Amino acid sequence: MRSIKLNLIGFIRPMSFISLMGCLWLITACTRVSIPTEYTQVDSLPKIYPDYVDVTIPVNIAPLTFMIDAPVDAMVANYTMLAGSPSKAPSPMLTTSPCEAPSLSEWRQLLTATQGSDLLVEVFAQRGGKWIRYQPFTIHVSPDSIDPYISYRLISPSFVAYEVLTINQRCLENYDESVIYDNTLCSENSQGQCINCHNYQQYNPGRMQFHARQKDGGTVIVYDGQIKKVNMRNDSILSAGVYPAWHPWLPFIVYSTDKTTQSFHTTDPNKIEVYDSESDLITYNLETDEVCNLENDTTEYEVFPCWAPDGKTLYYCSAHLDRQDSTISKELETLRRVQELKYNIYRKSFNPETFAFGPRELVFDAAALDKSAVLPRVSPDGRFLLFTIGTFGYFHIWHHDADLWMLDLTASASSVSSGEPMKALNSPDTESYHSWSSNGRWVIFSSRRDDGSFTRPFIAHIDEEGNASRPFELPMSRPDAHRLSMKSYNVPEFMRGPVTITPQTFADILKGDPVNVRYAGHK
Amino acid sequence: MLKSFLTWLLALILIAATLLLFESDFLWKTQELNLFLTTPDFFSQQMVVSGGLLTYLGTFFTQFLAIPWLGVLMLCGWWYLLMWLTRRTFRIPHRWSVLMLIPVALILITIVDMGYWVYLLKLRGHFFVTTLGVTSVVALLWAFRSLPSRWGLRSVFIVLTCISGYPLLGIYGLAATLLMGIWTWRLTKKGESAVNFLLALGAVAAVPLLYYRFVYHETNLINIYWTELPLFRVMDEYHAYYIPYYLLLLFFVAMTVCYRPTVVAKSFTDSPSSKFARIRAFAPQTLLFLLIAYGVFHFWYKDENFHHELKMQRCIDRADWSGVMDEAARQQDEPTRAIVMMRNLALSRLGKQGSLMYQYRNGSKHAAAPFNISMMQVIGGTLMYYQYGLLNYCNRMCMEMGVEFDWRPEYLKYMAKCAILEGDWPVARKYLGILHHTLFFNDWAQQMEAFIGHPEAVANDPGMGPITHMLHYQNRLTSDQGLIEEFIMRQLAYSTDASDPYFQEQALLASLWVKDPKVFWVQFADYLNLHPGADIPIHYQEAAYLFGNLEGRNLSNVPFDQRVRDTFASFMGVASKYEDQDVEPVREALYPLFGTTYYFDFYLMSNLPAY
Repeated sequence: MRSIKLNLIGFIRPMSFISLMGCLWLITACTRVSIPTEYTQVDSLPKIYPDYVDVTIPVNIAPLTFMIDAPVDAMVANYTMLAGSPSKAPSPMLTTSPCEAPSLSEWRQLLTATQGSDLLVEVFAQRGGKWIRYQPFTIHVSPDSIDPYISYRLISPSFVAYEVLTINQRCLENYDESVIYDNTLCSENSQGQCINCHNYQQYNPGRMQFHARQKDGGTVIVYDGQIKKVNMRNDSILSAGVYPAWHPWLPFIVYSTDKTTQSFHTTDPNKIEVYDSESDLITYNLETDEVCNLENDTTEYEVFPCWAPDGKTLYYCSAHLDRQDSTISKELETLRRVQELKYNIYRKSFNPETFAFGPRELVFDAAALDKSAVLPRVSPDGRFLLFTIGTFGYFHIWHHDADLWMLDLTASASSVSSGEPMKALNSPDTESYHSWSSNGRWVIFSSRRDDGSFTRPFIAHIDEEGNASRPFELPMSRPDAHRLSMKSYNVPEFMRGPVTITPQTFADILKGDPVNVRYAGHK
Repeated sequence: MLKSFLTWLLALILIAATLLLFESDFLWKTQELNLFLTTPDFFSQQMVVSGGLLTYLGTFFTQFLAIPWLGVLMLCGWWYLLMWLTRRTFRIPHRWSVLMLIPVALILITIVDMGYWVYLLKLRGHFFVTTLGVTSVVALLWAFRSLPSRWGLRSVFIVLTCISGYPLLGIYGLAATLLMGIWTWRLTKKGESAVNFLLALGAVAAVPLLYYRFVYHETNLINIYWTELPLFRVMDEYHAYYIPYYLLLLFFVAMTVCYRPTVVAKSFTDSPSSKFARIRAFAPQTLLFLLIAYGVFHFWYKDENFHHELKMQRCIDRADWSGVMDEAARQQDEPTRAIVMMRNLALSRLGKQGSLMYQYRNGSKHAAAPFNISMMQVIGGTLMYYQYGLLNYCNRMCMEMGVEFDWRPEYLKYMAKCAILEGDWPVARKYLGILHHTLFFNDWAQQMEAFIGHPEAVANDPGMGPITHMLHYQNRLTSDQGLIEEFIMRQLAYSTDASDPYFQEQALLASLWVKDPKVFWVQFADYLNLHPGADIPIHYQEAAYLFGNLEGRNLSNVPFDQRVRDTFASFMGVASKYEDQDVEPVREALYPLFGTTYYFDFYLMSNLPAY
């Protein structure tokens, strides 16, 4: 039996006497870890946070750390290969709270040996000086690896205010997190800056974009080492580009343009409604800086474009609303009829040679189910369409009933609208934004299942037939990190590597002059 | 030595006594707005900006104001250390020990002159940060002076001070470097002095830029030289509040410029021997002491409404409704709307609003703050939404304020209570879990955890119980537009739920506020149904009599008190003489006669400004 080797890098804070003392205490405490020899066996599984019981993890994921979700004096967890596994078993690994993080190298060794098989986790808890042993549980180790990086925006689940916003990137193979851009670099006193909608072309961190609003606002576009700030406002389009979709290989982005409003519930648990009073689709050509209207029917509320991986089909959502009362503003009428906004999923064909789009075609008739479907995302093999469904509207992150559904695009025409809820992924609370890994075997999605208010990223394995495994919460070096954090994860996106441009460089670009787009008509 | 000690001790005792006697509510509020967590992540989060260590220590010490005498004792202890260090560093003779009170007085002013900035300052731990920063500067200067003047040690020390001082202490690290650059002219040979001076200037200019470019990503370039200074900005900048900081710098510049190693060292232990010399030494010290005391008194923020608001908030936090009314009885000035709302809330909790609410002075005085923003939001927004049961709005305001001003125990407490009242246990556990990592809110969090899953205990709790009676609003999609009182009153007035007598009476009171007869009659009818045979509070009678007369209703069979009829007749008679006159003089003239009636409120207290 070996003691855990602590990864001290995560603990030692330079120039911190207090932290140093803490580390010394932790080292002293953790080096004494061993499996209790005297304990009482209980029949139940341990109630742990995050809940990693029976989850499937990629072979290259960072160590999973957890704690007993109840007051205990101490905890010991023992990770071993399940008996009968084909590989030669490495030494078992022990962790304990609060020195939860197992050694990265030992963890990697264990997962490599266990891939395609199961890890067995024994958990011991100490209460009042006595140890108990819970029923062991398994963690399935998939040989399918996951993209090494994700990026997300960290934002408090506030309603109007945004003081500090960051777009961060996190290495999934360890706990390293860094800031891609921080809005405080440009915010000045009462002139704040909002940042949103980071997006990549085919998981490529060298081809990315994000928006900045208000102070020094504009759309920042990175393309193979070139960075520019684009002013996408133009009198001929509804607004600057909002929700983006990069074409898989062309320097070409489709955006929705949205006049977004929010209103607050006095008592409803959903607390807020975010809705569009108008929205369209536009295209933007990175090389010519030209924008075109793609869809601008005033009775249609188009949003959330998404390209199929073959680059020949554009998916998007749209709700239909005819005006009924011309005596009030469109904004007010939309507010009063917000529950009538039912978004369906449509698609348009696209010719990458001529840049021509075909007519729209209904893909998923959510309105017929009295539902509203948004955020379509096509799997890299082009077979599955994953989307979020709620009762109405499109901002489902604030809807507790929002769930993930999936549609098999290769199914027969008669069943093309028969999407199904992803029962393995969904919870009684919100599931919303989601993204496929580049190999199509993993999805990462936002969920508020922990507490109903703060969004956390969950990752799940999807097999070739579209079956999902039990998802697991993004591993953190300290298991209570998410419970102590007042930030939500927003728009988790996979990346093949890290963004290497510094936040200060982005700030320099944003403080400079933008490139203005030219309007080039209707597509 | 003993005289210095006694002078300083006397001054510190005076300051401590004044803070504890007259500013206990301010101290309470300061710690309610100060979050210090015992987690490693909290430390890491502070260190992502220059001066993070000062913020960390500032919030650490500020939390001890939860035990006011302990917090003040710590502050005074730091000040004593500062005075002692300053005298040692600059080798000030004992007879000038009163000079050491100048930086302490200036730091004290930065605290007690804050007033409404206490709600708005974004610098965490401000209460202690200046003290800790200045003390660090003096300690660094002492080390600088103590270094031998050879091998370029002082040059190295200047650079090291800037490189390590800026990330840890922010502007105080830069100030220490700059002061070393000035002081070097008094401490070292001219050639070396010039080098050191240029090094200091160069380091002060370059080090923050280098840190900006390669280390910190949470500070705008325009702010990198001012980290750890409180930013007195709302929409505009309020430069007057920086004067104590300028004077602090000036004081230490003067110390370094006037420093004379040989003369000062000689006189360091001097004490005048003759009686005349003692008087001559004593007189300027006394004069200086009095001047400092006067300066502190002059700049001490003494606004009456500010202090009433703090006291009332503190009483409400303890569900001490009588305490709120005791404070209301001390009101001399025209009250702010926050005071009026808190007073009415206390009256409603005591069951007396319908009969006593106009016995107290009404008004809408602008908070005595330099900035022109809606102070109701920061003073009483969360409190009012919570107490009136608009929990979504309380939660929202806490979120917004937490994002704007960083997370404070006050917001976390309100959000936890809202979640408990809504039966949203997981998120309640989250907020309480964070408070478990504090030293002084842990007990409160443990008490609150006992309510999770026990709505019956919530209903019986003196603090939360009354709010369970307020959860009868209809859901609407709307926005408060920053007008909190109007929003609450309109939500209540147009409520149709009459299942809970307490909530229904609040709706009736709100109908008086909106001054809409149609709304009033609906709520009044519900009130009469819920209180058959009970005496009708005087102000409800006045409203009914007033609206009845305005609408020409037959009120002969309604048993109004005779004084209601008499006062109305008298009011209408007198008021008719003031027709077509400006409301202000009429209000002044009629207040002594009818200020305690709804008639006066209806006609003369409409359209009050909402600050």
